[in-house]
Amino acid sequence: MTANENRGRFDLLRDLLARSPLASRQRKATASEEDRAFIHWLSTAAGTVIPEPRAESVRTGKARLLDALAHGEARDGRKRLSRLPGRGVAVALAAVVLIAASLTASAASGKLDLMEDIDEVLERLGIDPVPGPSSYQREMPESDPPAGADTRDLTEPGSPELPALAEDGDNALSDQQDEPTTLQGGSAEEQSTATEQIAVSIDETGPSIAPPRGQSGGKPSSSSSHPGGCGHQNMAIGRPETPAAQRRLAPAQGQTSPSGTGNGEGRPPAQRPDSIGAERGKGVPALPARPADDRANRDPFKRDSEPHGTDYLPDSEEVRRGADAEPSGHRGQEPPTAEEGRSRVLGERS
Amino acid sequence: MSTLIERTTVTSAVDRLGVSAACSCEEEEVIARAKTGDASAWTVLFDCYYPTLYRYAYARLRLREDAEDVASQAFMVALRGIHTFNYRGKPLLAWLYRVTRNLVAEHLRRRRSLGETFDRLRAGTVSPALAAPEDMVDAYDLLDAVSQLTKDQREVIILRFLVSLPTKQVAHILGKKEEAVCSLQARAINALRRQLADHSPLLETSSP
Repeated sequence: MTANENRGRFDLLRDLLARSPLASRQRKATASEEDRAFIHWLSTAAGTVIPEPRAESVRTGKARLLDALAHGEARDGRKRLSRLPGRGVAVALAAVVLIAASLTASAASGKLDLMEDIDEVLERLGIDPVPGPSSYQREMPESDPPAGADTRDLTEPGSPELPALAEDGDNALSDQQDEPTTLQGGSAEEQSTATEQIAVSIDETGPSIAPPRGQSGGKPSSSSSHPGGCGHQNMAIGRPETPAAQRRLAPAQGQTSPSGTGNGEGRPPAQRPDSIGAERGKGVPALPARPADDRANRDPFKRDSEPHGTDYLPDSEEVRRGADAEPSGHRGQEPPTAEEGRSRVLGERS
Repeated sequence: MSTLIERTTVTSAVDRLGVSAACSCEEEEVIARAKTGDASAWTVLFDCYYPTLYRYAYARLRLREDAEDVASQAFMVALRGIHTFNYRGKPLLAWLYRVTRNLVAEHLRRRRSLGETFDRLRAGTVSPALAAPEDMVDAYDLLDAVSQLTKDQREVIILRFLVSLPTKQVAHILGKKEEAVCSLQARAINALRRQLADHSPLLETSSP
């Protein structure tokens, strides 16, 4: 056996030993020693890396903690946490109420029609909208309204409201302007009674408070809900030209409201000043008021079959004539009697 | 002198938190008293856990003032929320650690938004033990290397070596098994060795 052969066997044996499990364990032991050395260094370095906290800072921190504890911070924190959901719910409820109020106000003023909006959305989605009041309203122009009926949409801003004006019982002018609706519709007894009431009111108040023809209904303030109401300048269409006319427009006896100007400037109406004032200035009597949500409950077929009552909308021309006829006592014309009004209405309708 | 007392308190706290059953019962009792607003119970908790929380905060923030503020703030948060803590065998330190970790994260976010640079960190207060420049370099290299570890590895290294908590306690705090903590620790040490091999003379001398 030569030396080279021996060296070859030795190398082979060394390779075998190097691959043996024993050699592997030895290598792991070596590695763990390295790790231990590193860990030792790491622990030493880490101990010196972090400085000690300052004593005064520790004392301050502890004092803050105990001070907060003395002031009941823990109990307050518990209360705060328990109070938070309540506050959240309250805020959410307030937001819902505000949104609902704004939506209601918008719907009442006619600026928002939820049903029409829903129908529009359904149409865009390709779904046939459920027939309802809003659909009926859209189809209204295509239907045949009764002869002489006013086809104006009462949902428009400016639609007058009767109840607010009817409260002004001491004002003959407002009563006169509101009455024609009753004259046009209703039974003969009702019309007769209404006519008599108008005549009585005209007689009681006299022509002094009735505005001259063509002048605005400068209504003296009385028991209105607007005690400080002085007519809006834009709505004051007519102003008395003579002092006598101004005196005629002065508040009647018993009307103690200091705010009534009585000079024909036109007090803004109780509601919807933009429309009622204009209507009054033109001599058009107030139309019957109808709640905004009433159209949702109204029977669309009731209008043709029962044209009387507040659902009946008088023709604008008819209304205009009626308005001209109302202050007839002032202009020297006789108010239409019940028979005349009835025959006129029935004749136009036929 | 006060430092010595505090160091002793830290040691005792860490030793007591080690895991003996008696200590756990004591901690439960202290927590119950703390919930009722007992000032002495809060004093005990502060003395026990403030140094630990401070060390953890310093390892993450590398500024003494910030670490002190965060540790104090952690106790204020604990004071307000102690009633939500239910003792179920896990040490209170685990809960305080989570509070401190959240505060540190918030502090780091604020620091990043303010655009603080590393120069300010280097200019921060250092321990008197790091008087030698090479030691300071080693310390900052170590903290840099630790910050480059993965999140779990970094937490294990900080809690095990910088805060000096035992493995079982670290497992409790991190919500992991001890084997998992050991595995994370081994991988983190290998990563640290690779990163620090060129900088630490101690490693060169300790190598066989």
